[in-house]
Amino acid sequence: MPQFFDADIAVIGSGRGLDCFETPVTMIPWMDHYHISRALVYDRGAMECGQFRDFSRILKFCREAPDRLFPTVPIAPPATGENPPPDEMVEILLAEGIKGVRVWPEFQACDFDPFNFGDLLGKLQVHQIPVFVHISEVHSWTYRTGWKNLAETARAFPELPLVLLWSGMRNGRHVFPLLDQCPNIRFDLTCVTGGFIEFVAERWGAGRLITASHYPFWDPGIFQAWVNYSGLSEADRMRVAEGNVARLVEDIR
Amino acid sequence: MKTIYDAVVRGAPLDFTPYIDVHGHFGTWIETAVPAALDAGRLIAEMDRWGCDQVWMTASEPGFGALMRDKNDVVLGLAQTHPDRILPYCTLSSNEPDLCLTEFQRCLEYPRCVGVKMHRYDQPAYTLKSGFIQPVLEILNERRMVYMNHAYLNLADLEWALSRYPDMTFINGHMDYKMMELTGRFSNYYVCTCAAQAPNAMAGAVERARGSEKLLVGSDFNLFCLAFGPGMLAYSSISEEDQRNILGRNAIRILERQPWWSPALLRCTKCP
Repeated sequence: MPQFFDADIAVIGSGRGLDCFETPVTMIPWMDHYHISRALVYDRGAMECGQFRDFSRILKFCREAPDRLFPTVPIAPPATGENPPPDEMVEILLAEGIKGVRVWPEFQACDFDPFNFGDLLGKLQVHQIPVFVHISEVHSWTYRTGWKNLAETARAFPELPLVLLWSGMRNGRHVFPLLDQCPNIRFDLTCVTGGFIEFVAERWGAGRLITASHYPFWDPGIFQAWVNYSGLSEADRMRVAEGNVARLVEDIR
Repeated sequence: MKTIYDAVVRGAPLDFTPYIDVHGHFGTWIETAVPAALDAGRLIAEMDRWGCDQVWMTASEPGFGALMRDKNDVVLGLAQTHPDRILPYCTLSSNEPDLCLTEFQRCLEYPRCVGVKMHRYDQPAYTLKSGFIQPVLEILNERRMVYMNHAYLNLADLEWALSRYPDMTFINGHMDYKMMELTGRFSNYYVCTCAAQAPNAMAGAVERARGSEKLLVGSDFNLFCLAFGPGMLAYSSISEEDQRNILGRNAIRILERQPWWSPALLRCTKCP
């Protein structure tokens, strides 16, 4: 029975009406119901208000269940000075056990590309710290933008683990070329297109897919049921459910 | 007792209770790439893994891509190949209003046509009072068939139609909380759960519909994966009985009104 390592759960609080878990005490039983053994989480409230420097709340949250919850934090273009300087930022990430950084180009009104983020991305690449790119926050039925920036970034930093989230349900003609030409890009399962999982696994390997529930935006059951009933081998199913995110976390050096 | 939740977390076939998806699409799409979009074998294999007895199937780009006739031929061809697993809707369009009746009559030559599906995108506005639909609705009502719309935008005209055509079944193609109240007032009105993706949305749907008897599972399969229907159902907080109603029992109640219906059509369910 697959257990899931969920790559995207917002926690602590939201000023936009999202029903985020405020404490691990309430979150852990919910995770058990969904067979989510581990999760990469972020402080939604900090993200919504553009707070890129104080990571204390998400670190405290994860310390209450250190074997289940792993912190991630948002990044901004280094030139803005909103994050600590890149060298210091990476030191903090490694020292505090932060397992990835996140960027919301559309929400943050910035371009995620080498021009804007290059100083930081180069240092993240050295340490294999994964970057989770939330392509959009609007309903996944809509078409996404910024694909060329993603391709340019993936090619400029070919060893940087890039995970593209909330990629949309109808963006296959952008998703598949990126999978084809950028080996360091991985996708979540938001592209719920029929046959997507099997097609990607057959062409580029199951290592290119991760499970991210995007809770509290969507019900995790959609993606988990899809993985559970996919036509993948048992080993590949486990990789998509849990192993690929676990590997990203383990590979940080 | 086996539960839907226990089966889904294991990826085991839901072959212990009827499973009928009332909202599918088959064909190619101009707006996105669907892998192996015309591969019926892949489609049936996914249904088999789930233990899905049946999908009620409409066209891709429904009503706004290619001629109605051409799109319906794709779905009818699939249904002819898998007659117990795929029940076709006849997809009609307000882009071709003068041809809707004849196209529907052509679809009716297929013995297990479940009814008519219409969408809203990229076609002239219409309501259930529009003239070109009336002869179609009259036949549907006479034959106690199904009319599913992507979304009923004009509530007053929907209520008018529910009263005027009481013997047929109207389905709202997607989850829409504001449409739930009608499920209690009209015996011939159902809501499909397709796109009920918010966390535990099913609990809210059952609460607003005051029961599970007027909800039907749907997923947009094969545009999307089959999980887009039962995925959110299985993990929800509603009871097992409610889940089973939505997953298939309610759809059987609609099918039982057709002369060709037989429990033998539930090809995956071991104990119907």
